[in-house]
Amino acid sequence: MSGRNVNDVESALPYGGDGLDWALLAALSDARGVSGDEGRVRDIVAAAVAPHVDELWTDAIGNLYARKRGERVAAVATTVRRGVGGPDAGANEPGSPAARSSEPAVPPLMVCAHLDEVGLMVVDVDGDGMARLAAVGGVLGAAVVGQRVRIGADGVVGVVGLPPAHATTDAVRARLPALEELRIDLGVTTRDAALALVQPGDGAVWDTATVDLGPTLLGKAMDDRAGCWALAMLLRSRYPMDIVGVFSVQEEAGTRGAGPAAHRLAPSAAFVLECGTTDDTPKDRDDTPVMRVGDGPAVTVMDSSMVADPRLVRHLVAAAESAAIRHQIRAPKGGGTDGGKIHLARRGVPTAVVSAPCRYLHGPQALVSKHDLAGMVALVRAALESWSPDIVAPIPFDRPGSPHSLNREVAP
Amino acid sequence: MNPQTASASPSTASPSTVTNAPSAPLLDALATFTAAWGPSGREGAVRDAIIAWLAAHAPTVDIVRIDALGNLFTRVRAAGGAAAGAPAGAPADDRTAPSRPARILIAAHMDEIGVIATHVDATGFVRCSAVGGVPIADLVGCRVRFESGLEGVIDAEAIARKAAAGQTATLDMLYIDVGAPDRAACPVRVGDAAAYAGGLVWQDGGRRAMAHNMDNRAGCAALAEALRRAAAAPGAAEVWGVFTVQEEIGLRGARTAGFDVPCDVAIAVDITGAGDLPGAAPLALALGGGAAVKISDGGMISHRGVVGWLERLAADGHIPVQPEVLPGGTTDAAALQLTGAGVPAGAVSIPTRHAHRPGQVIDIGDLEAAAALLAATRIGPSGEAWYTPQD
Amino acid sequence: MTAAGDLSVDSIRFAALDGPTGAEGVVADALSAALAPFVDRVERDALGNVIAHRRARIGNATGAGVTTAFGPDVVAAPRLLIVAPLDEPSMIVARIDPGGFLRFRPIGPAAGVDVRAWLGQPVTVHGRRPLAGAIGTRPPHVLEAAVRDVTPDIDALFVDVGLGEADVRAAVAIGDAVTLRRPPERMAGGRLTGKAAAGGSLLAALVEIARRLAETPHPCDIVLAGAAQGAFGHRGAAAFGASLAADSTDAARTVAVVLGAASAGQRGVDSTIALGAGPTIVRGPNVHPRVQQALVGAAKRHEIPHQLEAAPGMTRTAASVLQVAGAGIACAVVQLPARYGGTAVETVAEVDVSRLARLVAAFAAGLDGEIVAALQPALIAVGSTAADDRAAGRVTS
Repeated sequence: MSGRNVNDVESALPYGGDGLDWALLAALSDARGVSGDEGRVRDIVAAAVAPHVDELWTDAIGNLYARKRGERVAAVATTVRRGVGGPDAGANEPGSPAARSSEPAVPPLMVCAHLDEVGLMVVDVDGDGMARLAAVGGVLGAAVVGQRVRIGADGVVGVVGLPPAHATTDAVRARLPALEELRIDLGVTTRDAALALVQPGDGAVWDTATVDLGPTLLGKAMDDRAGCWALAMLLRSRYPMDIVGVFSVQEEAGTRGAGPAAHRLAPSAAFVLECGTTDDTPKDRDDTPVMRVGDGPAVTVMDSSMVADPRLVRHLVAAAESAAIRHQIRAPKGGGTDGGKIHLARRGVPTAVVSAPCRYLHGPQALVSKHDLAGMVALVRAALESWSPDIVAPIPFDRPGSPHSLNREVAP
Repeated sequence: MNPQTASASPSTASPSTVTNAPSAPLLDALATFTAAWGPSGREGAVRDAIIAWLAAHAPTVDIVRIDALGNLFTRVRAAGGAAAGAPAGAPADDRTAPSRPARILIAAHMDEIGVIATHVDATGFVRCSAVGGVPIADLVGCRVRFESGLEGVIDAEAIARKAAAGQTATLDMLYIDVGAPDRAACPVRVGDAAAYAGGLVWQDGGRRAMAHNMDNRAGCAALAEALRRAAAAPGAAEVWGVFTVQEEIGLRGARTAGFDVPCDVAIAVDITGAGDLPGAAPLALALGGGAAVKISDGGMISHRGVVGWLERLAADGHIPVQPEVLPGGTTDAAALQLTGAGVPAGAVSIPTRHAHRPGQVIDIGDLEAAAALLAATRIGPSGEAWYTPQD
Repeated sequence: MTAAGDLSVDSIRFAALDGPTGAEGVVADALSAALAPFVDRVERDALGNVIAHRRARIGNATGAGVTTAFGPDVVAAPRLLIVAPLDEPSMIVARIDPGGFLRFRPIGPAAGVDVRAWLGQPVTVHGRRPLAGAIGTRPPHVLEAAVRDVTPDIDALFVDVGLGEADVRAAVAIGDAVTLRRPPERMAGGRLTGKAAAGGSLLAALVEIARRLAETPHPCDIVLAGAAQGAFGHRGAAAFGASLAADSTDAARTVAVVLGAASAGQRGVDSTIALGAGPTIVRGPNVHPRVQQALVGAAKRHEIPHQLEAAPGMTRTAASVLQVAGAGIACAVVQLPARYGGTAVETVAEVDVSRLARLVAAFAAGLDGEIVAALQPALIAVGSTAADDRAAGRVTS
């Protein structure tokens, strides 16, 4: 791996990155919202994008949808209302073809980022007032022990204790505890007093305030508030065709929100904006870093949830090259995204994933590069601005030797 | 392997010694489909081979469309059905319409398992992830082939293997040697996939065959042959043959394919396990025992009515079959069963030894039985009430 | 009070039936018959689900006038889906061995199965005719000391039906289902025990909910579903869920209350959930918080004892698939506390069953368009023009 530190990047951000709203990203990362409890995050996003989009609505599972009309249809005066039902995809969504019958029924592009973060849940309270906890999403005991957390709607403060070193043995210290062995100390000593503060089912997250390190940011929930932020930035511009930004819920609980969203919208294609793990810190084997922080936004070829549509991968890479945006190919290691559900919606949706590389994911202090994030916004913007429906036209089969193979090489 | 060689070999076996003698087109399909390269998500060459085979052997089968994921939809109309004009797109959901032919969907997945490059190290060795259920611990020594034809061999780090003595090899110990002297000279890029190298080999005088990708080129061959026979003598039912993608990584193609074709019955054709091996777990499936009619597997329970129907078709056609209760693993039928409001679903399987290993062995008589049984589905389930959607 | 408490159908009636996963017909028939007097129609689908429909009733009207939630042009009542599983943990014959011993597998995923629950159990093999049998175990006398305390592998187990091989082969086929043969029995303390004590009780509760709704106005359409293959990935619920929520408007007017069994505190399970303390109302990402709060509200209004249960991931109920079926359904989960779940000695408190039925029926009677509309957050106001668009010289709406 390179010995370069991410902090070495040039001080001025490329792609107009200095003009981006970094304070919004900090606010998003600091907001508390484990899977199933995304309301606070959704409110921040809704307030941030409302001035810039044409329609904004939510659904039964909590996904937030933000429609940005295409340039060709934006001038058409519309009355925003809840549409009527119909058998067609998304027919009852605001601004859908059914609600705007004078307009052509062109399915929108979907751009998706997830609102939720991993964290903890209070599952019960012991007689001594200590709260039992469980993971929401992939959280290890190592990421919780000795941490301060905030719980529930009111942000009740709790701590996950760790005995003083002098009171433990080498054998105890050599072992990382499992989550179920840990308790949250709420500062009270009885079950009733604890239940006055928290209830079983309350979410809890690390008590981390985002720090701006200059070229990088350190915060708890970059996965995937960085994606939400990038999507909010993208929704400030208008594109040739309709875009629906979907801020999805429950990605960390099994990519659950995005499937119903894609079912509703039946988009012609989808881009997922993720914040993905890297393995680019020192290690003794010459193995993949998956992605490197500082090497630009990453395009996925395959992960454990999806084979990215090769046509979209080619389009993204071409867009990056023509706009001179530094980018990388994410190594096809495990890990899945909302794309796994989106691409299987209805008849199948051509889907690609663009990731911001992130170190220390699913921990209390996650590190991302502003350079990469500015590049992510620039890359997806370039891909949307140069979009053509022909990119996802049906694959022909009737001409011998026609280029219908999806096996086209995708070289970085 | 050279398809000419492969298809020529069975002629060395006297047809009279082969029970359930297979047709020449079926053997040609097996040879050409096993020769095509296609790990999950990279099925284009397999799809090309199937389209070419259908054009050569069954030109009256409609090739309808290729969908967003790469599934190939084909169709054989019912006898006396609408004249074959320009192939239409997906059918409307007309399942409650009176007096129309039953619509049977048969799915065979085109993809095979493999590996995918994650990294090329400074000395030119390739690191990889799994594509589908490859037996990671047993990959050591396996030869793999990339799309370009480049072959390499998988080995494990000696030190890591020693440190983990007694444990199974893990992916991070493995590397592929493609003969590259260093990273710059290595032709493999991150994201390139590879499948087992190998080829089709005939055994037991042509009664059995081994290939690195019988899973599921054998099923593709059975379905292609069934479509050919159905097109030659259409039945009361409309048969959709769907060659699906990405089965090995989660039945993904079947999910969208099933959404696209509202059908009355869905059947998958795939390989299954065999229990006639030394020290095998309890599994009542034997090579040469006939096509397997699936009752259940690790992902689904077949509709009892579909099982009964397939067994009756087999009895009427004197086609050998055996019941299948597979403890683990599943097939496209599990996804097809849950499309729409739920579809009566089942599966026809080809018993296979050493599935997901580089040498997968089937009995040609079982393959012929699978093709014959699938072809018989064109008769349709008329006269049986179970498939009729209720109001 | 009678043993059946205040339920219209005795839990024992359902708990005594055999409903192996994928072959739930007997249970489905019984449920259909029990629901029929209280609903408008009962259907069966390709997966074997029982789906009973009862239109909204306000006075003598059916549904009209209660909407505002689904747009000005839509006249449709909100719809409440109430789901309970039809099946029980069960096995399938995989091979017939010499001597007539039946090798078997669990139906559904083998991962997570506790083989200990089967050792020495009486079973019914659902062959050409039902056959009584037992899962044999070797006596301690012949076991090496080292293996006496080791749970045997699933492949080592077999069912002995006490017949010769020829008779077995005549009566049993590969693929036949096997269920535990431990019919329900009442214990002291108002407990019901048996191999399907919880599932049978939930079906009795479903019928009781239907009966109560038949006697009261309810502004929402009601769909009562007995879901097939609950022990196999909730495949039955996945099918009818996708159908009910295929259309976005239908999805938007639907709320689901899914009935399940909660693991109560017992030896080996460290939980404060208790038998006899009322049904649990689940909190977590699998449930819509406002539906959950409305259930708590109904419980409090009607003074029905209840417990809160936290589910940090997906619940083990059909809500795990219904929530994301089609365009998505707002789900709540109400569970019956049970001990020894999935074993032949599953035990529940009957008082919890009638409380559960009362709670869900009360919730259903109070569910109107206004509440469902509140579950579907309205459109959010947007800026009419975008400053960035103007700055970019682009067209704005």
